[in-house]
Amino acid sequence: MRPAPSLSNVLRSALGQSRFAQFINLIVMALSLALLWQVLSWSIVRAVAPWQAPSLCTAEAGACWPFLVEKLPLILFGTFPFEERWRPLIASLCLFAMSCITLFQIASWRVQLAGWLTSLVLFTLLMGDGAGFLQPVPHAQWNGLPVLLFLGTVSLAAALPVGLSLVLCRQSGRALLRVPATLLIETLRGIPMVAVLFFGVFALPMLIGQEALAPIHSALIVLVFFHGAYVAEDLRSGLQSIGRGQWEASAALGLNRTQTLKLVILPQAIKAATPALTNTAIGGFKDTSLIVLVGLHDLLSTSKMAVAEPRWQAYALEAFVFVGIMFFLINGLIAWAGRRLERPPGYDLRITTPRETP
Amino acid sequence: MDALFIDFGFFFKPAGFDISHAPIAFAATDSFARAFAVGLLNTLIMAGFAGLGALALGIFIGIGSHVGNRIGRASLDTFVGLMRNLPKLLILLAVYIILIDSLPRPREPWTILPGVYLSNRGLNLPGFDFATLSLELPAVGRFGITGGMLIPTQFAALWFTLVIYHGAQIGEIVRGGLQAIPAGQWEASRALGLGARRMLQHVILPQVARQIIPSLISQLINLLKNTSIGLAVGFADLMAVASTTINQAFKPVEVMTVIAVLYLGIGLLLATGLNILNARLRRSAN
Repeated sequence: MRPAPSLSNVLRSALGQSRFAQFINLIVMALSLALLWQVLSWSIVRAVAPWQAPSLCTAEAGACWPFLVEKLPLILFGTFPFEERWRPLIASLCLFAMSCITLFQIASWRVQLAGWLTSLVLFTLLMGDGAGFLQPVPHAQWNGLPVLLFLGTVSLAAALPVGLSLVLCRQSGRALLRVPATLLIETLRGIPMVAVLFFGVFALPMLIGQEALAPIHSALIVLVFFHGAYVAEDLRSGLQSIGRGQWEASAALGLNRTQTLKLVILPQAIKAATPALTNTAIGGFKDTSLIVLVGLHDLLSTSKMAVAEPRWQAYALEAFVFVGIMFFLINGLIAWAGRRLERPPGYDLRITTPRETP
Repeated sequence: MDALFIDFGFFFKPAGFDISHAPIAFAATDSFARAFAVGLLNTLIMAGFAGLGALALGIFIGIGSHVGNRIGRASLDTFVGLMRNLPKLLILLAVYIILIDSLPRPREPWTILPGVYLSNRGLNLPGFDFATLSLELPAVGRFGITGGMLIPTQFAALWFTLVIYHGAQIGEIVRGGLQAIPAGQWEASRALGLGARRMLQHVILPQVARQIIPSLISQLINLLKNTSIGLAVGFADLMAVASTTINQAFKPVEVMTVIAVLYLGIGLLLATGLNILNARLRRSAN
């Protein structure tokens, strides 16, 4: 028999059976409703729409979206000379395209390596002086999106081979390889990324005697090793998930150690490590914003530039919302790629070109 | 090119900078070493309070997304997704700006209790004077609030950021732990006539705890490392002191060596301590 639809029954089915579940649901729902209302009222109800005049903003208590429309180029490209903005745009698109190729593994590793090297050269030419053909732009004016993409994507892409080498050294039988690799991995994982960046920008140029090394390059060097240490750890747990039987079966097939690693163990280990690698990539990419703290200019510091004028001072939150959405989209892309790569048990031995299994 | 001289002697020279809100007395004439001690203490205090907050929030989120209804789960998922995909520095700066903009200026603070004032400079509380063994109440004057104890806005913003950022991740860990408990455990405790709260308290959570403690430990160590973003809002943690020292003494190699040793040291101590605690808990549970 169905219970009568009394008010208490309706409430029960909406909030949960036990009093404890009801209590938790009430708190969560009340909090999220209150927050949702705050967000809606700020971003829509009391806000000035993007197509309205910026002068209306002073009268409203909510968000000022015309500010974002006006300052969007500044937030994206910072102080890069105005008429030269096509250069950072193309440089960013190039890095973005290469990231997609690596994320979705739609080319062999040789093509990827060539692609990354080409985009690095292209990036340096476009952002710098174009081998004399373009107006030279100093490093200090490399701002915003291209810097974020350069440090975020190049360091993570390079961290894959570096991490692989580190973990192979760590797992090797020779103490001469194992001990330094273990020390490097554990040290980098033990200290905060901010400290690693400070080391890179201030101490590294002195240590290697290259005091003219630009901060953007020294930051890239330390980020490669920093992310590499995390990649190595992800791959190590992937390697450990592969049973002894795989080694024994490969030995029985007459494969030597290198062949076994390359053809049998690593493809499975990388697949097993994909969820962890996805997390490392998402965490690593969003933490690239910490470069602000060593004086490099990513989207957060161009946002601050955008609100530097007294007229726009009150609208930092609008800029941060925009930057947040950018990160959300890029991280969503990484997560999507990760799910695609871990999904099929594709028995493809050259994991770089996953095919559908028959 | 000059040869690179490594010299740690400057650590005992006067620092020449001030630290606002130092937990132990600090003046510009004190040494760099003492400044580092102040920074280390601030890092540890922050990590301690934020760790407690993040644990509490994480357990709430974990349980909530397990027993919650559809709306509750969707809201918690949204929250966790936001924290997972947004940079912590962005969250910190947004929280800081919201606090500064929405709280009143120190000249006209909100009075929460007699002697407790909230303004955009921070939360003023009555302080305890150990010399005279008396309570000192803060007073609102023309130039802001004087006397008593101040929890600065920077501290509050960093604390809140770390709590929500790591609370969300701990929530995911707790939820994973809850999902790993076989349904039979719930059914058996229901058959015993236990209510949801006692079921969790006596049957489910002890088993979950045993499973998730290793991930919680690494999460707390991450939290400790992440206090270093306080630099962005001017919270004088270890990394902020190091940054000022690099500017002041220009000894980046020495400073970064000390910083690496300190972070590795406290991380190792924390990991060892928590692992011993974990082993004890397991032994007493068996």
